[in-house]
Formats: sequence, C-alpha cells, structure tokens
Amino acid sequence: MNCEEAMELLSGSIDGENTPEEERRLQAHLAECPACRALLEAYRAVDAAMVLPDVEPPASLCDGVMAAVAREPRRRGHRRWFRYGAAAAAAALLLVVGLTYLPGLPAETTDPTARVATVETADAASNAVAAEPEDAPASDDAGIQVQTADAGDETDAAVNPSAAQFSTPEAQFPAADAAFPDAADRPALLVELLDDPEAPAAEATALAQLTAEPTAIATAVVYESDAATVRQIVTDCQDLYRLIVPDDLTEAAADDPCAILVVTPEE
Amino acid sequence: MAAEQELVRRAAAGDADAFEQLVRAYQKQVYNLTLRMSGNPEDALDLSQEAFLRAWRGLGAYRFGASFSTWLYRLTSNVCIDFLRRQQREKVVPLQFTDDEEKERELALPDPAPGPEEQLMAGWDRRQVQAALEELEPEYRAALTLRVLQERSYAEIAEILGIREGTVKSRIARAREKMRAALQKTGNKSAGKPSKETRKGGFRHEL
Repeated sequence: MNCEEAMELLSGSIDGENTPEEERRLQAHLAECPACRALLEAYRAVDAAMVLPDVEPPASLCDGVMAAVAREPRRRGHRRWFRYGAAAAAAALLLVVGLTYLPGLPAETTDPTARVATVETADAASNAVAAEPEDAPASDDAGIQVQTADAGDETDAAVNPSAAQFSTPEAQFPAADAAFPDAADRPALLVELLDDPEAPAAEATALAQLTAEPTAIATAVVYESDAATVRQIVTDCQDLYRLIVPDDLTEAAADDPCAILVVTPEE
Repeated sequence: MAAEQELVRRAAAGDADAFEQLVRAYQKQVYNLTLRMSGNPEDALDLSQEAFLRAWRGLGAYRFGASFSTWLYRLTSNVCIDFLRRQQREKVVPLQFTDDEEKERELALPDPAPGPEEQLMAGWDRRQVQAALEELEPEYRAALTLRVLQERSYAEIAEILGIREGTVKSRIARAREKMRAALQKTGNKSAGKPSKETRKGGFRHEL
C-alpha cells in the first residue's frame, strides 16, 4: 500500500468504515510509515477542531416556516399544466426571465440572443425525445444548454431536438408580470428530471397530452441543466408563472441532470 | 416511529398542524446542519426555513419506508449545497479592497469570533476552522459535516446526498485532507506539522 491509498483508509479508519481487510492493510502500512501515522493524528485533530455542541434554533424558525406554509397555494395537479399554456406567448420569455435571475452565470449564458432559441415551426418531429446536444459545452459553469424541438407531428408524441432551427428573439424581455398581467395567461413550465428511469415515460406522457390538443401547441423547447439550477429557476419564478414541477426535483442531488420543457401555445 | 409516520401522512395530505409537529421535532437537527454548512446563524435560519418549505411542498413525493429524517436531511443538504454553489458563483474574484470605504464596510461585518470556551480547540480557533470549511467544495463540506458533526454513517450519507458509498468515503477522505492542508497553512501548532518523514516523502501526501 502506498501513502495515497492509505489516505482514504485513514479517513475510513477514523469513521470505523473500513472493511476488516482494509483495516488490516492500513495497520500494516502504518506500522512502517511514520508520515501516515502523523497524518492520522492530524485528521483526528481536524475532526476535534470541527466539533461544536449543537445549538437551539431560534423560535422564529418554526414560526417562519408555518407562516410560509400558510401562504402556500394548494399543490397543483400535473394534469392541468398544458391548459395554462394554451393562453399565449413566448416560451423563450419565460426562460430568459428565469435565467437572468440566476446569479453569477456567465454573461453569455444570460444573453438571450446567444442562449435562447425559439422554434420556427412545425416540421414533422422524429421519434427522439430530448437527447444530449452535440455541441454542448462540458463545463458546469456553462449553465443552461439549450435545445429546441418541434412538436409538429400531431399524431406523434415526440420531439426532435436536433433538427430544430434557432432564431433569436429580437426585443428586450420585459418583466414577466408586466408581460402577463393575468396570471392565468402565463406560459407553463414543465420541469423534468432526466436521470429518473421513469422520466422518459413521463415526458412522453406529457407530450401525448399536448398532442391531444395539437392545435394549441406550436413548439416545445427543452433546456438542459442541473437540478440546482432548475431549483433556482423554480424558486425565482414561482410567483411569476405557473410551474409544474415533479416532486422529485426537490430531492435530486444538485448536479443531477435536469431538463426544462417549455411549451408555447400557437398564437 | 409509527406516530411520526402518521404525522407525515397527515402532513402529506395537507394538515399544517401535523407538519408543524414535524418541524418542531426536526428543527434542531436541520438548523444545526445548515449552521455548520453556512457558517452563520442568519443564513442558517433562511436555509432551514427553505428546507422545511421544500419538505412541505415535496411531501407528496415522500416514499414511506425511507426514513423521514433521511429524506429531510436530503432536502436540507440540497438547499445548503445550492446556496453554497450560488455563493461561490457570486464570489468569482477574491474579495479585494479598492478603497477605504469598502474596507470599512468589510470590517464592519459581524465578527464571527467565538466565545472563549470555543477557542483554541485542538490549537485552532473557530474562525480558522470555519474558514477552512468554507474553502471546501459544497459537496465535500456536506459529506464531512454529516460525518463529523452529525455522526451519520457512510451509508446514511450516501442516501442523503444521493451518491454511492464509495464516493462518500473518498469525499470525506479528501475533505479531511483539504481541511488539514488549509489549517496547516493558517499556522497551527499541533496537527499537520510536517515531520521529517513527510518532508522526505515529498508531495506524496499532497493529494
């Protein structure tokens, strides 16, 4: 065993999480390696320095939570989501408003001309449901990756993300509530996790619902990101839009891949 | 436990009183986790409230059989990690003073200095430890905090963070190593002091 291997086992040893075999090998290494013995003591000291007695939470914690709970709207049903979308307006707007709220994203990410695309129209869709964009940057900091998709074929509950044409919105985007003074007119947002084995089916179901009323839908746009970013969008936008969010978004790890599906009704 | 499951069931059905009982039962654990993750009581209060609010919203998805506390910890960890990531994105450049006014403002920030009883544990004071913690990636901080301060097993941490146990093990190991390296830099007297052997061993320990 070398020292690099030993490091993980040193930590595991402190936590009592090594297997007996790992522990045996570690002890054999420690017997002949003073450096790792010193490291073990250092890690113990780090732990000791971190430990603090628990403190009592302020009374305002519970009161604040319950006040917020009282303000919460009733949970919204998944079934109704596309009906809200049938009222009007640009899907791109919704996402841009969401994105501009995101602190610290690189400027290019929040630049609507660079990042937000609307779909020209209704070429027939293929059978592919949202796939990885080929030219997507690998960096986390790139934030949102954009795909567009047509939901053109009225009998096919699928979108084709790769063949879409991008066009850039020309105008500045006004505040959402100014654009949609009547909350019922605001577009819908469906947030869906990609790593859930159930998700593709759920997505297909959602699109099937769309195609049940095909004339109401002009485009579907899929944005890919991670759960942390999408939660941020949801937090920022929940007062502005009707958001349909699967419950498991709450539980997803921060970097779980996550997609936002925006459906734009036909004007 | 049966009583708790009943509370969870009622809360999931929209019973705010039942939910309040759950909040009261878990607020100390949740608050202390957010406090260790964020490092200050103001953020900890906000983060705790956000975690409980997400719990209220997400109760529909809670699966009976999984421990409620593990599920709640998962939400809380997510809230903290999201928060820390956002914070990291915001401080792209290290804080630098450009004028006296800013310097004053910075110095006027609340002093997180500990009371005397907390000082000099193991040779470091609270501020040094907190500063070292804040240098850790949020995911590493979460794993180490859950282990050292909350005394969760690797299996529980894996469930809370939604990662494999092997990943938990390596994250905690690396977090300890980063803490040690950071604290060593701040000039502690006891731990991390390079012995002759580590010096001879060169950077084998610089992982």
